[in-house]
Amino acid sequence: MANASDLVRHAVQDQAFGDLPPRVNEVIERHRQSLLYLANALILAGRGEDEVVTILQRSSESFSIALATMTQGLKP
Amino acid sequence: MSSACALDHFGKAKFDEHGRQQALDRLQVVGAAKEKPFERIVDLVKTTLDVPICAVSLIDHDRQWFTASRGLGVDQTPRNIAFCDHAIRADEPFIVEDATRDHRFANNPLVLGDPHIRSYLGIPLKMPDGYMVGTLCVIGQKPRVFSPSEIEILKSFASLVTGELELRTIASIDGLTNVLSRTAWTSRVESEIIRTERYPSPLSVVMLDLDHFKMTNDCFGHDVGDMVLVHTMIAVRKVVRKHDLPGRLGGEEFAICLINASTAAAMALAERIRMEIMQLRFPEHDELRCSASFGVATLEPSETLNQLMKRADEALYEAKKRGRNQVQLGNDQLLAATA
Repeated sequence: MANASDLVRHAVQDQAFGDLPPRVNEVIERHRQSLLYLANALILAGRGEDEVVTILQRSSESFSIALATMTQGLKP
Repeated sequence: MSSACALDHFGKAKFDEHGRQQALDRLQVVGAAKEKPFERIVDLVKTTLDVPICAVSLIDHDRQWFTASRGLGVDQTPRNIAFCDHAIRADEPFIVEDATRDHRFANNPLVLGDPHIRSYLGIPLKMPDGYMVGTLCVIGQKPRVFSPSEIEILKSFASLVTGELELRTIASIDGLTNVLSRTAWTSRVESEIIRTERYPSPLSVVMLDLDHFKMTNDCFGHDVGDMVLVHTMIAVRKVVRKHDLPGRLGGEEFAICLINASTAAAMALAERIRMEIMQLRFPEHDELRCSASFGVATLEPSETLNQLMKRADEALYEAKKRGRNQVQLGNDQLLAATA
């Protein structure tokens, strides 16, 4: 079983948005931490790797879309 | 930013309802349409924890509002019977294993009747400023003991909801003036127009443009210009009602959507804002004076937001043309003739 960090990395690709306001960066970091906690909790609850990745992906979808929309035009 | 809690002389956290309500109001989500992203999370929680009912509940003045829910069948309940109102009073999971055996809930109408709550687990949605605006909660219709890992799973989902709320706030609020951005304002007003089609009530728009703002920037600098914009919106907020929607359309142009406001009410409100703006004073710039021109239009049956804004904009143009610092009403007959 891969560890939580690996599963989060596998589920959610890092997105580069260039210079973002510090407040947005803080939200992104908190979101990543939340996914990590979720991955850990799911692993501890005995969920399989694939299931964890799927849940992480679905949990993160709208956040990623909202972030991409918000940062449209910003180049890394 | 004030802190969410202070400690009383017993070292116990006191509940700051006023600050909490302000934190909720800043999110501008209560009463809005159901939120797809939260519905997705609610679906995931429901499946992952195998529960019949899950909701994102926001605790407003006197009600809890479900911005996403599954298995409930209602959009809101009175606050005084809400389990979630108990949950937001401490920064920890709130657990009821069997409501019928809990003296706080045994006679609760949500236990005795629909949805027949027996077990409840609610995680407070704690914003970065420390205020708890609502919960992510799961509800069962049988007694249930929630395991530590289930609690951890729900806590993680709750922090994802909080992150979404925060991101949305950043995206929808103009960073300088703290009112809705153009995109967010347009989206909210379109929702309100749809609502008035279902539940007819008057809706008016006031467009506001600061007079000679370029001159303010040129003479006093952009920092002072920004300060004028900020204080203009503070003046607007002093006058508008809680449920009205001020937004920044761009530059020195703002719009306010007045819910359930007739033309006469909108004209009167615009006039009061005009007076407030005229009274703005800046201690470090004694000679600086402000004024604004206003265009007002009230929604006609079957009218779109674009048409409404066009009339308000024409009225604003008329106010500028007639010498600025005044309120003008959109030409309703013009639309009626072309409809």
